[in-house]
Amino acid sequence: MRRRRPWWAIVIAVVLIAAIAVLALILSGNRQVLPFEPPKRVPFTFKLGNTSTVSLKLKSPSVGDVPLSVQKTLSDMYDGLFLDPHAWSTAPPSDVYDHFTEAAKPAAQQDGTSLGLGSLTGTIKTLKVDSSNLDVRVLVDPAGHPTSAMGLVQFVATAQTKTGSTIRITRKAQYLLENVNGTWLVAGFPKTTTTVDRIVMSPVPTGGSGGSGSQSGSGS
Amino acid sequence: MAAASVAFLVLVVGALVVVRAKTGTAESPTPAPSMTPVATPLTIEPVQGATFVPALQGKRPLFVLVLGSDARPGQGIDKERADSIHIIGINLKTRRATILGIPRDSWVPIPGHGTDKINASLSDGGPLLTVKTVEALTGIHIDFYAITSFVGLTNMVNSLGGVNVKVTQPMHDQYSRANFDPGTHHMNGKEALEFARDRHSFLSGDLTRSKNQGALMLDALSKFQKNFWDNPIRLFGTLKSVWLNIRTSLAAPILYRLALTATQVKPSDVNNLVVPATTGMQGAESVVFIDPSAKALYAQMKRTGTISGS
Repeated sequence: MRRRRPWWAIVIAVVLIAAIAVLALILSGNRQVLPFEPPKRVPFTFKLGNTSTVSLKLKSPSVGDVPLSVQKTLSDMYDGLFLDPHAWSTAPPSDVYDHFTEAAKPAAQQDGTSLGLGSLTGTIKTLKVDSSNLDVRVLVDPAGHPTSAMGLVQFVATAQTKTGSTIRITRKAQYLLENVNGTWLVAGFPKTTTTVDRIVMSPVPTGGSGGSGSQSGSGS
Repeated sequence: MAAASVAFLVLVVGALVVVRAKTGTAESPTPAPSMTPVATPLTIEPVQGATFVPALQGKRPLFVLVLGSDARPGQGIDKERADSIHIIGINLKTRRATILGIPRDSWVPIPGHGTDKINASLSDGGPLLTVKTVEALTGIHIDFYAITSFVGLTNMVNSLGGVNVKVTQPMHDQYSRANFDPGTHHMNGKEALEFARDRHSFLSGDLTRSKNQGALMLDALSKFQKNFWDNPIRLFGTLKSVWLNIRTSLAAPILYRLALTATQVKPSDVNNLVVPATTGMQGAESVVFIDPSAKALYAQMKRTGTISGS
């Protein structure tokens, strides 16, 4: 004679299935269905540096808020590429590609990781921006309309890796942006250079002035 | 046992929530309080990132007629004769191109003006008549024309920071003032103009000059690309210089797109040719007779935008 399963065994099975589902959702990185509110972050914004215009007519016209629009697009893009925790672990969030023109989007998606953290993806535990600067140059057509803009980016961040190292990531890049239905989108990324250097952490001598340049504890 | 399982699950889920909450904060990597960054770069790893530049797309080749007017300062750029006439064909799919030079003394029919040297078409009816003349000669539909002058060429080469030109034979000519020994020369705008104008240094005169003009365009393309990939922001300054030194049927946005396309056409994928021709006399005038074999080249260029071989 078969014995009936106790009620608590069924409850455990249900809880187990639910827990596995929750785990799967968490590990898939789908923020839409996370069972908790993602932590609030202050959106990253580039410090706007020099802005200039190149007019195809001799007279230099006003370009209105184009530099601010470029700043918004590139800031949001960098927020996704570098500051979103998904970018640290797996890949930048898919909405980062909304900042690209249709023509540039496939190339951006194909090169998604190298546009951002590249080979560091999967190794970063935390990342903090140290400094940033954005210079904007706007090309103005003979009719006085801004045709295109170039954004020159300098971005320096310090990251802690999962292995405990501290690294400095320095990104220098130039982006070509075009106005698509009133929004300035990234149309090209002709130049991107990233330098990663490991920072050695040295104990601060008590009462000492520091800055001795000691290289003890060399990074492995 | 059951209680232990539930507790384990709660712990796992709870731990994951905590981990995600921690990694979600981009604000504080916070090194240990007793440590300070010495900023000693032990490992420096420069990484060249992804690159993408938009280019013109199209199912058929694009043809631009490039003219060099012999207008001097103060003269109308499109009212004098054309010293240099080149069709540039670009295959937008393969990103290969051909520069086909037509010697300025080519003896050809000019629509509505009988038969004359092709360079007269510019003074007879402006660039549009030259376009019509070239179209009638070659059967190739010209999409855009661009015309420059002596001063314009000089300015554009200077804006590129000069060009490196390979001189294949001695050029010492009092008319153009070209004075170059064979070898590679870094030329400024004035020197580039002298190089482009010299025809007296060559036995085949106008034919070699036309080829040299094409070579100069290729050298300019190389320099333009070097400037762009070294520092893309220079593109806008170059565009301004070009725009101010040409007269063209190209709209500014197309010129901009064409410039971006030009960043992706390797000079080694551009064939520089001159139509096969011989020099001769027409009455008292020294002229160039285009060889009938040119028709096959026109047909190939019309179809693909390029001509294979040299």
